Amino acid sequence: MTTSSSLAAEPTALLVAGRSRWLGPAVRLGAGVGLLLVSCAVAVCIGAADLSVEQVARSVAAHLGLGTSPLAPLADSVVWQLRLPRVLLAAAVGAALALCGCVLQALTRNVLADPYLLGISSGASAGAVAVLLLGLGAATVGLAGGAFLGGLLAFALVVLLVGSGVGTSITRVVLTGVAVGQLFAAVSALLLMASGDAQTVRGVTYWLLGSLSGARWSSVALVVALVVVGGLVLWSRSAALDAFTFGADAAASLGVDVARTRWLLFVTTALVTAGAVAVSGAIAFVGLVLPHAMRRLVGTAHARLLPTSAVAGAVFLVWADALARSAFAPQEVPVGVVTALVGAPALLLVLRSVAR
Amino acid sequence: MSALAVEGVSWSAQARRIVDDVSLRAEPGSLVGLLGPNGSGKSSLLRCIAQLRRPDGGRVAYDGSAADSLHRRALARAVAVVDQEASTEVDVRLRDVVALGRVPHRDRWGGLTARDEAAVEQAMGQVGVGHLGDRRWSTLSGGERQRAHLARGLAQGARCLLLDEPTNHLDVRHQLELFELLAALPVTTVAALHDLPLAARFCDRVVVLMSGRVVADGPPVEALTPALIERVYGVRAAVAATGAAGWKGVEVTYLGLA
Repeated sequence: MTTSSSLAAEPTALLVAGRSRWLGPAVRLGAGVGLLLVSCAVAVCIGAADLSVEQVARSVAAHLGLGTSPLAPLADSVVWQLRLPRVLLAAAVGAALALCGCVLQALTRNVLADPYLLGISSGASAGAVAVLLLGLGAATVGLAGGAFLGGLLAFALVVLLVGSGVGTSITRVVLTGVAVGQLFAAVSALLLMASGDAQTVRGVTYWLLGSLSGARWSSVALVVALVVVGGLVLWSRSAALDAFTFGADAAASLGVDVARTRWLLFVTTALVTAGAVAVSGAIAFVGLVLPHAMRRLVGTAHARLLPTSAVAGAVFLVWADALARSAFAPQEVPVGVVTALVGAPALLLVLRSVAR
Repeated sequence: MSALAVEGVSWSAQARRIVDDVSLRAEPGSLVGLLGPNGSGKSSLLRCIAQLRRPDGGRVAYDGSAADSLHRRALARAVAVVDQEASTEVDVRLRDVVALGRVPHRDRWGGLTARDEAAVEQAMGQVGVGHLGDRRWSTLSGGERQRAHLARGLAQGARCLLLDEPTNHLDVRHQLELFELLAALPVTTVAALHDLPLAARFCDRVVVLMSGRVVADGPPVEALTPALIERVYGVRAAVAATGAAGWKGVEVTYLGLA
């Protein structure tokens, strides 16, 4: 322990180190955004209707006020009304779930926390199903409202059942989340059996597995708005999220208002999750796996981790959905099935690294 | 004016009085040892002083200003707490842990400034973990983790440092190095300690707790008498003044159970 006094260490070295430290992440994030744009562009060109890249590009450009579309009205609406909103929704939902997973993992100090495993997604599903079947207004906003209440209720239940001190033991939190998730899945099933005709049941079941097939511009607008606003709120609390690494007392001793911060972050997370679930159902594993992979890539500091995870989640879900649409074309697989097929093995890897 | 003044602080949990009407003072730059057997209320008292627990009664003041009137961030810049059992499942790098000390200094939208980085590097150097910055938490030993937490506390740049058994995972050399560092630094330190010989040697003042009450308070040479040690710990001890260089206080030798 040398009592060094290097506070005034060579300023130039610090400056250089500082610049490369900020340049590196900025470049990587820029590359990530570029990758996202390319992914979206490619994904728009994938689909049942056989359209060339040029046709798609000119159709999109026409809608943005540049030139005229070369496509017949029907093909044109396939691009503008079906494919583009769907790809953008995949990106927004992926970003939303990855962000929420990141924040929940930090707040509960639990590497397995994510909206799906903690039962929030199931709660939001049940809320949305209730709105849909009880006819409380099936517009996107009504669905989202029901999903939000359901998600918040599920989360409150998990917190209540786990007891004081969120983030006690990993097993306890996860088992509670699984139990609450199952409870709300059962509620959804019950609602369906009680009031759904065969057609509704099939549609809703499909949606409970997680699917982006219902994408509309209105749903894109909702989730994009939630991701942008919610994401900024979450990102503004990056330092507080870092401070929770060693628990609530440690965060408090670092000047964090623990009760207020927790509430703000939990409600924001539930809101963003609910928006995503309301338009796409309960898509599993995105919120769990992507933040882990990104921690390996950019470290654990949330100022970097949150934006990186959001971009990675977006890219991941765009490709997962492209696969869901095209793998068994013309039949479509719910995207939740694809993410689970990728996510379950990834979860096992996470568990192994935790057990070490 | 005292750097830290505690007056009549009490705290109860589940109708049990854990901290009972405790008063103590720490002069600027001094090292105060908080002694007492297991369950005597040392950790709880530290939490009350740090405002992590709201005392049932009494006052805590830093540099004359009441702790409960300070804003959280201002408080976090005035006093740093190093807990004895802070653990995590997240595989953070050691440098990120030390950087947590800069949280109360950071802007909402900013990352670490060059000043923050310098404070982190300096703190890591001071406790001898400068070479471990990139190591993952799960690969560190108990002593390395403890020193990382100490570095985090130092990086916080507070004038007052509250340590809960800072040496329980450290080997002999690191224990001595830590106490010499604390003695050399201009910060005011209150440390809960189990090691009487170390406390007797390095502390400017010791406060001895038993069942939540202060039973002795003063320089080691006055407070640590064989009679007191026998009464509080149930252990017979010899206490000798010593003139050896670097010895502030007295030499305590355990003789056996009382």
